[in-house]
Amino acid sequence: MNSLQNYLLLSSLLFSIGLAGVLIRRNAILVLI
Amino acid sequence: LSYWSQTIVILVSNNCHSERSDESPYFVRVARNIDSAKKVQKRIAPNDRVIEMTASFMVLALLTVAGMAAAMGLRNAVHCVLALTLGFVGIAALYLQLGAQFVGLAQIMVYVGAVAILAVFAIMMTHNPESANSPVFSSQWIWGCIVAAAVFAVLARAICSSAAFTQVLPPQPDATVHQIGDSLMHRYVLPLEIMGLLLTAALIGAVVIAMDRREEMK
Repeated sequence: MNSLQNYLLLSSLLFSIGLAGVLIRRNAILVLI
Repeated sequence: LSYWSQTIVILVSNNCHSERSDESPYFVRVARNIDSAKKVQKRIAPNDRVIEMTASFMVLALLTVAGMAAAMGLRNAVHCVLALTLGFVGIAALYLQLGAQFVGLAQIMVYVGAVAILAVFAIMMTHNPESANSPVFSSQWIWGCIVAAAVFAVLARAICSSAAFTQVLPPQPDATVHQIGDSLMHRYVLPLEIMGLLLTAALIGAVVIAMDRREEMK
């Protein structure tokens, strides 16, 4: 059984990847995506 | 609007849980599970918590993270959207693994079927002046990575040190697709109709704006 912690850690990792994409990408459409 | 509709679906599914709370067998089951969990918790010290992870969760998490990371890092915008679609599929599979069939299928229909296709159309219909030699990332990319890593570190620290995970939570009862559909068609029919009206107004507004631009171009 997966704990809630695993799902929260995965979601925070996805949030961080998205944040990095917003901060470092140059293409405006991909930033919005 | 897709975010709102998914939020409403999640709220409805949560209310489906609460609607079933008057059934006595559910209370008996919850009490039994809390008792057994408390017995287990007495044997485990708070610092000895073990993070359990199934193989299917690991595979789906790796798929999702790989898709999202590729969407962030690839050069070709269409490839980025395809990688993003892979990430959406991974998230939908995680929902289905959790037993949330309605949210999982809605994720596939709305995000994989609509948002990803919309993004592909937006990229293809927009003039992209970037040449093959232009850099993908901004010149200050290292600072962006540092900020993102710092945000992840703060979130992970907060999650791992949270006291909420030491509490015993009652198990969530199942909310079937039939129950959610029944609630949407009876108890929550007014919000559903308002949402449909809002989507129709947005569709008509988009058509009107597009027609005005065409007339201006003439």
